[in-house]
Amino acid sequence: MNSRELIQFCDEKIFSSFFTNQIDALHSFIFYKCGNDALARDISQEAFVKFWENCSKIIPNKAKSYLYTIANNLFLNNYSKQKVRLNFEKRPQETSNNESPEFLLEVEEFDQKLQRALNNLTEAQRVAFLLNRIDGKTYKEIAVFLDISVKAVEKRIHKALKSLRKEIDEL
Amino acid sequence: MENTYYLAKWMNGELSEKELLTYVSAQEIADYKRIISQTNRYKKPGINKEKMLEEVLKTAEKPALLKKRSFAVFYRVAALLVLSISVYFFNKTTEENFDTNIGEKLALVLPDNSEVQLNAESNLSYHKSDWKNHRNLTLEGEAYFKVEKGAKFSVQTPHGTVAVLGTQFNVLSRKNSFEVTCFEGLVAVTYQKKRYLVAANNSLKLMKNVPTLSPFSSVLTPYWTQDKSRFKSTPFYKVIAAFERQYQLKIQYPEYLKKELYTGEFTHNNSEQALNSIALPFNLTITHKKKLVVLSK
Repeated sequence: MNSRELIQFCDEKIFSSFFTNQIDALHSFIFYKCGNDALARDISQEAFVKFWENCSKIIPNKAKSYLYTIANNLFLNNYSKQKVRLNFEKRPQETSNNESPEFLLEVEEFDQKLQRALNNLTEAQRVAFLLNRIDGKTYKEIAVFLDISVKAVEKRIHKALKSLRKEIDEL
Repeated sequence: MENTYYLAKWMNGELSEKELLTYVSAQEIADYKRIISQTNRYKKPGINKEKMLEEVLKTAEKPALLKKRSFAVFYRVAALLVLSISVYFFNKTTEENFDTNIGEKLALVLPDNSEVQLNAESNLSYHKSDWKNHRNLTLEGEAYFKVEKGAKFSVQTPHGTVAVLGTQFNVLSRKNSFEVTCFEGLVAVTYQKKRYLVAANNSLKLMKNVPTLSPFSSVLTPYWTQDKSRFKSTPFYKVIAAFERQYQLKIQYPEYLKKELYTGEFTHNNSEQALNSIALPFNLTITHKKKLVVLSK
């Protein structure tokens, strides 16, 4: 490591490509944590602002964990007490659209229950479950991402499924 | 049982539906299927990357380094004027200065290729022009050194001087602690005009103002360079001080705990986990009040 490498994140090109590579994953992570899109954008953006302002102090192989530390602290310090209100856009359903109104209503109802149940999961379960379902990350990738074991990821997802079913049943 | 997390295994295709039936009923499987297929329809809100990047670059203050450089140009001009006058009186040397704030760490390479890692809330400085003749640094705070072989290498701290030839060692010099840990080679510490030699796998620590040598079980580098802090029978207030150096958080705790001894470690990457590592052994409850964290029974 020489002193040239140490300041590489102050190069706007290098910073920009780091931003482009990381922003999606960071936004997902915070979004699943807090369930609020606008907030997740704000925190992600703010984290990158801080990162850029401190670019000269960043150790290259710690850059990613530094970024997540900033984002996590921003989240914990300011917003962790807010209620989780996930709201997903939906891909159009693949089945034909000549279903009965009753059926469509029922689907709509189930959808609302599911979203509410997702909000009520623990933060850890929700993050693991949604990273797998929506971002399509494998258990292994999630484990690396969250710095936990694959077994721990399985546990979170298993528990998430269990409590989703229970919640929906009770609603 | 073998597959404790059978639902996760099944969703991942590692367990067949038939196998899953030994754990749950067919009705439950149908419920789970419905949950999964509905979740699969969700997509997360997209973001406009270009716009956000533009916003980040616009909002952020110019990086510290760029600022420092433009200052350096200004100083160079000023220094030239001053130098031409004062060159008779003394040989002005250029001082390199490095600062870290709360939660920051810094790695740097010295002109002779020796490496330094600087822990949070620390300051390190040396004279660049004079480096060839005197490998001499000033430190306040904590740093880990990997020294290239060569002439005497010394670190001045408010507590005393640490000198070596070529080795790896850690120096901690803060308000009420002074500790030198040697990982390789031999280190000489001068404290109140007395010289102490610290061999590899030993550390010299100030205990009630008396330097005390003790061996430690071998680790390759200090814990803080691996992003964690570890303590063995350390007074609670020192642990809190170490925590506050790593996170932008202030901690409030009951007065009677101040001198209690803590043994354990906390990570530098996750404030919640770290708080738990500190609070749990004393059975304390954690309450967040913006940037203040209150620990209480």
